[in-house]
Amino acid sequence: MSGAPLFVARGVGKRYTLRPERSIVLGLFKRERARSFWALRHLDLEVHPGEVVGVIGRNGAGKSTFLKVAAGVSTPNEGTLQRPRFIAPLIEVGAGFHPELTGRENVELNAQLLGLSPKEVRARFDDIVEFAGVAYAIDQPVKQYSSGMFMRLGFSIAVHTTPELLVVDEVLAVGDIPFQTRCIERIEAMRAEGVGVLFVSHSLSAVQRLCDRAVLLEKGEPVAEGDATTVVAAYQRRITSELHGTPTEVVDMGPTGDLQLLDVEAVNTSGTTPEEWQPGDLVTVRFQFAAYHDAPAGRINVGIERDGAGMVSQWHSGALMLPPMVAGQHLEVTASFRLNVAGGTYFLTGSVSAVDWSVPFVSFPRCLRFEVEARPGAIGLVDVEPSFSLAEVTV
Amino acid sequence: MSAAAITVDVPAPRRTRHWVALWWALSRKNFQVRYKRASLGMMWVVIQPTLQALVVAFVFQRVFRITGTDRYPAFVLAGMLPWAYFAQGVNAATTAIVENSALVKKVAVPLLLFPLASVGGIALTFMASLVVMLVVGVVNGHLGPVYLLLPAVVLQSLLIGGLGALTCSFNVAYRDVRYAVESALVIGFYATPVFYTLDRLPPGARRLLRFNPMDGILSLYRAAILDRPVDGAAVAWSIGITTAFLVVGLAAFRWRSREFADLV
Repeated sequence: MSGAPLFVARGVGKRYTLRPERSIVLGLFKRERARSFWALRHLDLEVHPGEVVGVIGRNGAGKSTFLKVAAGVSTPNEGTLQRPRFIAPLIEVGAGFHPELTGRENVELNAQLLGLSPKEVRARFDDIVEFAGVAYAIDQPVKQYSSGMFMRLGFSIAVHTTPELLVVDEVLAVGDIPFQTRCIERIEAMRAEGVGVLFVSHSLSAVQRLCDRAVLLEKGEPVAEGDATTVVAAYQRRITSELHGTPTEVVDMGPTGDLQLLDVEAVNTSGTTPEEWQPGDLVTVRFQFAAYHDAPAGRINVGIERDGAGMVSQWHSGALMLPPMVAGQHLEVTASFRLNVAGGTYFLTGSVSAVDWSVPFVSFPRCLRFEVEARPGAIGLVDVEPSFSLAEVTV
Repeated sequence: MSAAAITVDVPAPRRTRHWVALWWALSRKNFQVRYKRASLGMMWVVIQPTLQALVVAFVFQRVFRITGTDRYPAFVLAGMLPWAYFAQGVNAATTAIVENSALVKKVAVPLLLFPLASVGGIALTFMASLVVMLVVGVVNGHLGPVYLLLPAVVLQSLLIGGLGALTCSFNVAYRDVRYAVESALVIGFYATPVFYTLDRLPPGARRLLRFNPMDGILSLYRAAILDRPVDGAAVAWSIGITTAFLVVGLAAFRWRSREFADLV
């Protein structure tokens, strides 16, 4: 990435003090020894113009703290921070909007809060309303809006403030599919114009699709950083390694590009659950997809990964292709295979790519975990479905 | 870890004009929201203290037979309406940061805008009170130097801003400050010459009330509306105390505001 970074954090740390609920009397006269903890620490991060950087991690990992620090509302306790002048945070649904005011009044106020002058607001007002698709209701109080209209208006204001850095919080997770698509398209367009984006999300596939780089936070500290796909994979490994007792887990059901994996379900011939499969079982996996965008034809790839030993086998659907789908369409793909692997822990991995393999549309690494019981007397990697027979030979 | 080296590269401050425009927009919002659902709208801001003034005037003049103050109902009204501005303004400023917590956590704007815009919203409603006071003054036929309303409003607004910044900055960490403020304002109402004149008080109490900055401010309003003499000493005290509140309030706000986003 060339050029000066828009946003630089070096060794940034934020410490919170845990105090019991304070009243003025107790607070002033009884100084309790407060416990403190680092909600964020040792964070180094750069965002260059035109770059989308994802921040992932489970709840409590420090994502919100980082957002506050990045937006400039919270002062870090250590480290250095360099921020651009125009930062547009997406204001939470319902937060910046006053329900009694009309859409018009709320737009005027919120756009000014995000840094536009009254003149600029007037100039961009029609664009904001048009993008949000709420023109017909703009003079009604927003308490009469549906939550979708609310959200569209909020997003529309943020993306029309021409920020240098856009901070996208979890908002995308709540919108319907056409809205998510438009948001993602808009973010892509802003990226093309050189806007930097900080993207905080639980939707790993959205992070994979949108982000150039990502950082994984755990207990306030960055534990992985780099290429988004690698960091997402690192996160998934951490999650799956903790999932003992819950063998099937669709790690990520979040929105992806054109297609979304809604559900994955696997059974063997005898119908047992994936923790007690036997080598040699015939396994049937059903992937359910939804298109939230018109999607071209694609090919599906399936793989089996052994925990700690990498990919064991990988294959694609050959002549069978996913047909082009229209937005809103659902499709189920059934894949069957013989489980010729030795005992151990495995993950099912999949992806859908363009027919000529040029572009991956969606990937769902480690979407399902299963256990294969060891065949008595056998070790190794593959299962050869061994059998022995004995016959007496007369000479 | 080395001694916490903190350098925060704060983006260059936007032009003051921008913040003034934003303050104005927030003030208007606060004003609009306040009476949006009431069918009489902002008339309530006038109706409420006017009724209260009439009741107080009736009780003291007819029931307790207190005499000696000319045009007593107008005198009470010219104290009650500015007092309502003061009390509502300080209360609104006190809770401003907590009530705007969603924005405080997200948008990097000077946080002082929130209490000041709360005061701004109340100030806009007070404009209706000023009209009522002027009408009463005209009807009474004893309108004084009306231009005194300008320094009165300015001085009072500065006082509310300074005091509000102070109470607001502590209300974020200690949420019971707002209740303490409400209680203090009830006491303040009686410690302010709203329905009595200072000469009715014993000398000790009179000296004590010198420290009440609303005393001088009310004397300005009454000079304008009722053509009463301006109590110069009281006004001087008001200016001094207002300045002190502004300095202390803004300093406290500056000091506390660093942690607002973490506490709301």
